[in-house]
Amino acid sequence: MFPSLSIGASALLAAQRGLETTSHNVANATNTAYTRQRTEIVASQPTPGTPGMRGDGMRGTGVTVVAINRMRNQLADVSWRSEAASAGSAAARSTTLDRAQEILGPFTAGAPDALSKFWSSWDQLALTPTSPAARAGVINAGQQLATSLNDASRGLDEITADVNLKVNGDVSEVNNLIGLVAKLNGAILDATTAASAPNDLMDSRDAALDKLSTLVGATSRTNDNGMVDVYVGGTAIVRGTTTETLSAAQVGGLPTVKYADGRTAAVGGELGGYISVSNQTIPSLRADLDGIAQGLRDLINDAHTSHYDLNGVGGEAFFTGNGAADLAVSSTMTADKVAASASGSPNDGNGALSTAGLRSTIGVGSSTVGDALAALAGRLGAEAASAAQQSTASQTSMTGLTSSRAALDGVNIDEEMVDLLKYQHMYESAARVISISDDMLDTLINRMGVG
Amino acid sequence: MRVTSSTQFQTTYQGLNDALGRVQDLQNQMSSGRRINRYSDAPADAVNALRLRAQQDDWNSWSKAATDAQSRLDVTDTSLQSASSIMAQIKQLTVGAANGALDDASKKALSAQVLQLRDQLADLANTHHLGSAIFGGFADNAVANVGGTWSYVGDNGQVKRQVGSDVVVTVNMDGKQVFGFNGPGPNVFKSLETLSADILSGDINALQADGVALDAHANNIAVALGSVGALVNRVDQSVDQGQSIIGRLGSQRSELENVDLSEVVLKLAQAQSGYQAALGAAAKASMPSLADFLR
Repeated sequence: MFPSLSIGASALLAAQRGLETTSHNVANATNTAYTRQRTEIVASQPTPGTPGMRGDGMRGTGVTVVAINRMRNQLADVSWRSEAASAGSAAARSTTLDRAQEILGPFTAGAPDALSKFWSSWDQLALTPTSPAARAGVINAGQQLATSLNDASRGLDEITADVNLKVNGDVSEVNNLIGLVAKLNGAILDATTAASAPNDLMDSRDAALDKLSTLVGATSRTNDNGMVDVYVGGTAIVRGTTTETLSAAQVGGLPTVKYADGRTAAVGGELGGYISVSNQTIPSLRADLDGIAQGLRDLINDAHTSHYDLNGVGGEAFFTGNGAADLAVSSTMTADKVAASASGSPNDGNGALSTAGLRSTIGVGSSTVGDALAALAGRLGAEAASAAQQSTASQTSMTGLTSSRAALDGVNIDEEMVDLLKYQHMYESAARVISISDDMLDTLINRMGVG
Repeated sequence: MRVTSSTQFQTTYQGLNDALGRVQDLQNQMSSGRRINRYSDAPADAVNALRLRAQQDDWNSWSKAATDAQSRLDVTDTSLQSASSIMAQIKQLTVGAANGALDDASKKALSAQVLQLRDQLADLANTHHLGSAIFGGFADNAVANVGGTWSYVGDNGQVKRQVGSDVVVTVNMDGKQVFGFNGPGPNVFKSLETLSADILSGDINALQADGVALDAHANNIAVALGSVGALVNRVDQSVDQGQSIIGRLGSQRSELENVDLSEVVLKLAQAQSGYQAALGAAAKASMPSLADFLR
């Protein structure tokens, strides 16, 4: 009869532990980094019983809490993190390229518009070659056009500068996170040796690993001792409790991430996205833009220097500059110096007419200046659109992966409520066992032999 | 699949966000009236729209040039018509004078009239349009009388106007040709002066020779009138073509750039009801849990 007291006590303890876990789950129901925990109970070691005595075999001794487990699936983590790396990269590309498409100005009034106005100003000059207004109009339109290309170039500079800042920020965040992972590795090892389950520490570490995969596309491998190693591009940046920090550097004005040993890091994720945009897409856009500025400058200058200004003097270079960044109407250009005459006579507008005709002359690669500019605009739009599409697609599959991962490790309130009831009833019944045993002992001790 | 609190909220949020995003996109299209507000909205269409817009600008310039050419040719035509009627008048005078039955006073009057007509013709030869002489190439004047000698003071400049994508027309008449400065004989002004002197002297043979010379000059002017007429036709044709091309480019562009309002209105209504459904779903998703039914 006496064992039932201790059995009841073990059940009381188990119910309390179960209730504790349940309330911990409920408390963290909306914590996205939290992994659902479960109290694992088994029957206690039975008494061996007395050999030879009938009906006195092995007897149960109650219940024991063996573990509080984390309901986590490593495989779900692996696929989540690999998709997170592509989603991070796509999002970084998309936000950067979305900005890049604005460099040519708004669709309705940008650089292509300024180019059209520039050609029209030469058309007008061809009609009225002596008009000071038409001459000033050409200079004005030229300046507008040069400014719009300058703005485009500056827009690209700003994006590169911004990307540099973001890369610096991301690298220092990555270093913080790998520091955290290493520290948690140590704490988890200590806790495991002390035979206590470090569930919440592991949650923190998993959250850090999630972030690392989004930021740099890091992968991880769990060791036998419970610590994880973190890899970026095949190189370990966390080994147990030691870290190899990354560093951000600029090579030729372009952002680069380096390993601790100085090699260029093969980063993925958000950092990889930023670096691929700033080191590949932006320079190639800039090359297109510079090609347009140079083509325009050469076409116009060749025509301008072969014509004559209002005073019959041979024309000077109209545009100066080496590329889109510094293209400008020559600082010595005045209204009188605009070369509109093909013959030297001031009333002759045929020079302006042939300059206006350059709109349909091949000047940039194998296309006209206008077509090259339109093609660049189209390229900017297409890059931005496809990056946005990729980002949306990644986001959608992330949503799916997140919910299928949460399906395993997330908290369902209804389920916890059922557990709550279960443990409540378990506690009530165990208490009943103890009070009944108590009654029986009372009968034995106090009622027997009295009266 | 187990449903958990965090996924439930995440899906709800995602759904609301997506639905609202669609509504916003359509609202944007509707308020701007444009399908393409940024290059990424429809990259290929945006490029085509840019090209069409550039072509439209080009054609606008060209039709402006064509209008300029029309007014220049109008002025030239008027001048040549006047010159032609002066030449007809002179022809009549010459025929009258050759009849020989004129007294001295009539001869004097006729001779003076011829000189007056010569001056009118010289004025016509120096007609200006927007500051430049229409028969003088790029020069300021076409003909001048220096020390009693008439000479062509214009140059060979050809005033050209681009009136279509590859149509460049020369819209000025060569004054040298029109007024007989490059023929083997004397120019029209010199011929008139000779006529005036011959009327005074009453030399019938000389007057007949003058008549022949002046017929040649009248012919030069008639030829110029003919070519102006042909040019006017050509430019008019270009103007018509330009107008129809500008119209066509405009409607093509609008097809690419602008929204079909009724379609967007319909889509917007659809997106809005989608958003409302998502809101409804969100309200249902935060339904009571079992916790609400436990004491």
